[in-house]
Amino acid sequence: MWSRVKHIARLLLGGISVATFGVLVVVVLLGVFTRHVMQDQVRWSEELARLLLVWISFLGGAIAYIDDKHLGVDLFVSRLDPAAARVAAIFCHLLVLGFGFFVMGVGGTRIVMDRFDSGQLLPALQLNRAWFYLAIPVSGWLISLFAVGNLIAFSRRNNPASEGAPS
Amino acid sequence: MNLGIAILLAVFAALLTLNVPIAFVLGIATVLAAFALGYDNVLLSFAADMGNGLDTFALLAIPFFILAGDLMGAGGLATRLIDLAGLLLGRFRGGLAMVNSLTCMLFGSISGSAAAAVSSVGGTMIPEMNRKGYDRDFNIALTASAATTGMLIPPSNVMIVYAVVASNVSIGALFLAGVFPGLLTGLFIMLAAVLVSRRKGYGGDDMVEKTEVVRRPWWQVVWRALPSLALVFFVLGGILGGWFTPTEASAVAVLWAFLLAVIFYREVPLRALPKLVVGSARTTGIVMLLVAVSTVMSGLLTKEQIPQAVADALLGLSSNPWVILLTINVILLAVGVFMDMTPAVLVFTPIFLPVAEGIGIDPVHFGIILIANLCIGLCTPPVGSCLFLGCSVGHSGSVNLCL
Repeated sequence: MWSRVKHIARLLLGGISVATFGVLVVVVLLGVFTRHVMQDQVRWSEELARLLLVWISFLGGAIAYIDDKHLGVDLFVSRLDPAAARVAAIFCHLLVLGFGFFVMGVGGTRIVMDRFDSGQLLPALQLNRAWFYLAIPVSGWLISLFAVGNLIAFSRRNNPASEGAPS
Repeated sequence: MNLGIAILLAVFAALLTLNVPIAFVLGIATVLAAFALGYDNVLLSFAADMGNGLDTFALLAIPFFILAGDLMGAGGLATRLIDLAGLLLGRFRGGLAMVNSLTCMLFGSISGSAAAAVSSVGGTMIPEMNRKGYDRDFNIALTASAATTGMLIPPSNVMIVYAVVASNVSIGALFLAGVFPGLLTGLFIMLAAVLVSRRKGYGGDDMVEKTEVVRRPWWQVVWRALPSLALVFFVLGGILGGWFTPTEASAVAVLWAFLLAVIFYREVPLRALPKLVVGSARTTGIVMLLVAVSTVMSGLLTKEQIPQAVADALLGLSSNPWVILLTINVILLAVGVFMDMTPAVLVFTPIFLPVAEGIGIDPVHFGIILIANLCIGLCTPPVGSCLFLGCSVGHSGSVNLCL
């Protein structure tokens, strides 16, 4: 069940990030093209690129957590005995859960609400700036979800000896 | 020192040892410090600052150079550059060592990433050198060290990170400034490699075997490598000639790498493309999450006037700029041993740059000093991403560093 959820989320996130990356390249190249060939750069290209940059960064950050690829220093943890390493790993996932949930999720939702209330628009796209910040809570909730998943997977695992710390 | 900063440092050190991902370490330490200092609306403003930290057009060059580097890594550019380097240097004694270094420099430069250079050049060259009687540990160490010069030779992703953090530093100027130090470091690595090879008698029979490296006539080798090398000229020439901004140049690099890898060289089938792009998005997420949280952290440090405090302390140490510069260098070397490059640049630029400017060092110059120092750290354990990557590429459990 859990691995299915993970698989589907990974596919979905992957698809979205590939599309975003593609649009990003095209948008920036379009900016160059319109400036040099048509002598007049389209106004929205840079703004859209910055919007997509935030989205790909935070979605990529979530993918990196799902795939366990974030940079860490495993120098000390790798020398612990398996039981202690397991405790450290659980602690680590709890902290990630806390940060993803409270700071990115809750804090991010607040800034999104705040921007919607203020009605501030991006000048060229005429889009509410809340859409820009929305990437943060979305990524935060995703990271929280997968942190919970990791913690459940940890608590069910009977054989801690085969488990190292996440890298 | 105030309480908030003490908490920041303590949490930072504790969580780092527990193998919490560095982006989260920085974030958690900063949030706790902000609470301790009694800031208002900590959660909302933290999230807002994270978003604002990424809202810079120049930062877009990072995902683009990552994607371009991944495309080049998978796209068969490395083998063509190896052939070219083999043509130039393969005939000399210790030739393969020089070929390896030169290719790492070229590829590291073109792709803007040392990691891409280690995996794609090392993946071919290390087994080749092992077969020709070079010591495996030497080969891995050489590849890792030579690849780091690619961070200094433009285009380079860390330079963009530095330019954004330092603000008011021109990326074009940084790129230019890196050319000479990068080439010089590379030349010295090659020299060291040749000396070691001679002393240990590696590669004495290269004369017989060199035909294996280069099977084609020389003009064909040059012709095949030319499109790969053209990328550097596009990017640098485009920026310096005022045609594109560095960000736009990086998008052009993606387009060129895509054309080479998928259409001309046909080494990346379209089917394999989505997986490659997701990998690039993931790397982007790792780097950019770090950028986002460290913007918030350096904002807090600035608010608490920490950079000034560090500057005062260092300037109080001595009135001699050389002593201060050397002190900073030693600290950076030590930092590089324990921290990866991007987080180190993000954390230490705002702290040390004011000091450097205080003793009259240009921000561009300081950027090169910073990156050159941290490059060394990429090859040193315990945290040496290039070295470890080299080990996994070269199938070695432990490595004795020889350079």
